[in-house]
Amino acid sequence: MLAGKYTSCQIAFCMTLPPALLQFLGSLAAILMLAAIAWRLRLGPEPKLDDENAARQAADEAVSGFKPVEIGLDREGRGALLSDAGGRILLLRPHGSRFAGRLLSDQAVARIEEDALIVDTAERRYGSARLELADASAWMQAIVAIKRG
Amino acid sequence: MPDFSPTEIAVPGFVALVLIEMIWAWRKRREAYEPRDTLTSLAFGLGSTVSGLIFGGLFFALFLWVWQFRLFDIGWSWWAFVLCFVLDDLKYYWVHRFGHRVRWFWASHVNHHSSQHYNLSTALRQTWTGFMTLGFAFALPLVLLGFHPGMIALAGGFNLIYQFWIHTEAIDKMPRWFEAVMNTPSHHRVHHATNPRYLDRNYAGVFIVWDKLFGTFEPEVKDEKIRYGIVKQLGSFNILWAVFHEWIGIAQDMWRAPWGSKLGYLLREPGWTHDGGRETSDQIRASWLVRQASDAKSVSSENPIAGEAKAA
Repeated sequence: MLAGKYTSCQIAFCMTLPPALLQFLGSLAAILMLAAIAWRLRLGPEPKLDDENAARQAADEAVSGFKPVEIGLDREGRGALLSDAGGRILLLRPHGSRFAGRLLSDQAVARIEEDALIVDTAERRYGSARLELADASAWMQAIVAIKRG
Repeated sequence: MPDFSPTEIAVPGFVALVLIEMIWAWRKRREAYEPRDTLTSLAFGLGSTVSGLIFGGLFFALFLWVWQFRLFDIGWSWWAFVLCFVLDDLKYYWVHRFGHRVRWFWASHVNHHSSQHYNLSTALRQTWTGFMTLGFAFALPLVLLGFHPGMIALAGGFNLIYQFWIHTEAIDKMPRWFEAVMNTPSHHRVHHATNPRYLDRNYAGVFIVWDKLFGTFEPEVKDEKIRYGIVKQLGSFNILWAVFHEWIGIAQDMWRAPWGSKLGYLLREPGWTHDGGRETSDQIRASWLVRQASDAKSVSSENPIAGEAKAA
């Protein structure tokens, strides 16, 4: 009885809403439902760079024609730093289930924290990356050297 | 005049098909979807309906006013609708081409391309800022010809519905005759790709023949992995940044540029800079072609058999 009354209240509430607002709320509910289903199905696994060849390919996808001469690959494959013959340094970090890359500018900052290199691109929306590299301090110096030009 | 919006009626179908494609992804290719990317795409879709509701009415009123000065009285008939649909699709081709070749238009259209995924939710990733471009002006010739603005809106709605299903990797190729005439998942994957070979190609909405006619067609190559998104990937799921980043970029570039170059950042192609600091699609493709030729040359010089090869 109470449930029936509650439902009729809901119907009455809905009928007082303008159709456009009702449509908006319905669409919003559908969107949240689809995103929740995607999350529950565990779609979009984190990407991984298995080896240097994978890093090379991802670098070329990020910056067409980027040919690395040195590659610093994260131990778990969660990103990489790559430098080319022209001295440019490219950062690759996961973005959802893909990689997104950035050529580091002289605004970039790097520091070492507990065996990991933290690279801050100084680009607010892209943010920073945490990489566990075999030669983290060498990469940190290379990033500092960008400032010196 | 029919009083309905085909896109509004199609929404439950869109939701159902996204759900079906998600189940396909779950079974076959889990990386085809990413929850935050999906949420961003769908939020774009929702926001664009709000934007359309606010500004669509204004443009419709403008079209009705212009319609008074029409050259012909084209009534509501099936043949008029078919003709209107085909001409509206031609109009779409040119609006879309401008959307990629003029940064002012790109600032709005980039929203549709900013996902690194290509699935049915990407189709709903529609702009919020279309009203800030001159896209509406491309419909004026149709209005002046005498097509009723309601008919043009209806044709545009069906055009948008057609384009929904082609945003998928779940379909490889359609039958040959269909691929020859119609826009398909294969042709449109090329359009969303950032591989140098594919940049700024296949602008078609419904009929791929426009690209073949105007020299912008590129077929999908079987063994080349497609990278989706934009040349400089966003690297963020922030919806407001995704919506406005290119507008902000234009404002910053115009602010910093010398006086003689300011308008170039608005009216030239995306990637253009007065000092050559960035690359346009054409420049990226040209560099890639040079590298391809150089790689082919080095292979032929290393391989005497390949080097000696001549056409029969």
